[in-house]
Amino acid sequence: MNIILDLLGAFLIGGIVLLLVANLNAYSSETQFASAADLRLQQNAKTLAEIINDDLRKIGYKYSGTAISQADSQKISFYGDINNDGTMDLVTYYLGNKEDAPSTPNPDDRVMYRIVNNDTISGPTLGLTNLKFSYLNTHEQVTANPDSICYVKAEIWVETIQPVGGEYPFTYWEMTINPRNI
Amino acid sequence: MGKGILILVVGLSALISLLIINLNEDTNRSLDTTVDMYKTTQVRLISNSGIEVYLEKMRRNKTLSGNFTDNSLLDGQYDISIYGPDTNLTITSAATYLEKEHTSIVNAKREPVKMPGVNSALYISSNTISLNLNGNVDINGNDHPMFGGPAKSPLPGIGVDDVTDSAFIINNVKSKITQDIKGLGGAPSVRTLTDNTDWLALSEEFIFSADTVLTTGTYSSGSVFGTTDSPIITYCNGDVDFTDATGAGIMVINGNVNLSGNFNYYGIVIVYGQSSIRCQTIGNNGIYGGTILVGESVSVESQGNAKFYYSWDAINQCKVNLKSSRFKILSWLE
Repeated sequence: MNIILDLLGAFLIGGIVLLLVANLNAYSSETQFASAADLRLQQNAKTLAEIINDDLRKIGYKYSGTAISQADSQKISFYGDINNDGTMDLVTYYLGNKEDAPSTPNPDDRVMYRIVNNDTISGPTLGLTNLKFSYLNTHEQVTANPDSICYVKAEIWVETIQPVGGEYPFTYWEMTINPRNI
Repeated sequence: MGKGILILVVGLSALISLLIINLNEDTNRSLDTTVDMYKTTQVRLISNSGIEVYLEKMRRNKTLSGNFTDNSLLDGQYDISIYGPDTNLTITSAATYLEKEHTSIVNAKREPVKMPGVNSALYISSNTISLNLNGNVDINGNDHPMFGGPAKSPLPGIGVDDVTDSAFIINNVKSKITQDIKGLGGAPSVRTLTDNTDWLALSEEFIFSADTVLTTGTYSSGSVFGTTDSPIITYCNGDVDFTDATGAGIMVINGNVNLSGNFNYYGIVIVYGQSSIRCQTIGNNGIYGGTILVGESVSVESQGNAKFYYSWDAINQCKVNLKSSRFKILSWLE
């Protein structure tokens, strides 16, 4: 009788321990996935910010007229010799539609289009869900007049491409750029 | 049983360690991402600051050009290259910070000096004027071309702000000397002028661009404050005595001035003070261009053969050759 009780006890404890191990393993996988997703989210946001930052700082470089030709909340077009090759470039940034990124699990991510002299570069979505430009004058007041723009404020919202726990964690990045050539 | 528990504990520890290692790795990579952004920003700032630093140096040293390497700033380094004429300077800054690199290229031009409008050979702006002119003082508003330039219309010999001042000068200067105040309208050429120049602000603009700053003292034979081919902006902060010195360009004197011996200056001399100023000349001195005395109370004393001549040519010669400390940025690649 004692042996049976010992066996039952051992099975019970063994079962609990096995459940704990299984749970820990599942938790470990989930945590690693979430952590990796957070990391990718951060890297994607940084990559997008660097691209935008690098280009917007060159607005009007070696251009004598009004450098910004279009200044909308989700689209900006500007002139500047962005690769310093002596040829003036027309650069346009705008946010695509959700339908442009059907291959990703995230239903809200979109493609940021970067057009340089009619050459469209879109690349992966990098989880970008929203992009907003606003324009400030010398007194840091919002302006719509391209001639009086001194600062360009860019805001990006980036989500993870894969869901994490059924949700898409997001990050927000804001930068106010003072292009020196306008 | 004991072995089983041992295996279980070791297995669990390994699993937990693996989890912690993975999480730490992600945390480190996340930190690297943030640090990388910081480095990118920092190297850009170092590169741009390098250009700002050298623009400031170029403001003070108006002939600065060439390569200047291994400059340290904010734990990074930058190399500067300056080349091209003043009308189209190219300043390149190549910065490194940790393993990051950034290059900024600036095109700039040195802006010309804004010369003040000279309205007479000797312009005095003051509430209280005191004149004691003796000897062979010669104040002449007729243009004196000295470097092959065209002759311009004459200006008054002495210009003042109101009628009272002009009457005071004519009535208080010896009759012989009134005949030596030549220029527009004939001797004595003393005219009331409307002058809205902010001489204090203008003087401060020249002080900002000064090539040479003199303090109170005597500057004698051998002292050269610019030549007509290479004029400079001289700022005298205090009372100064010039004996046999020469110069060309713009001289701003904040204090009293004594000219003696054979002091000759080509360009514009501005003597200004918040309260009183005294301009004393003894000997064979000459100021060719324009002289401006501005102060609450101005006293002019002269002995010997002092000359105050208007010369558009001398002023223009300075204008052409003077370098300012202001830059216009034509383009900035960062």
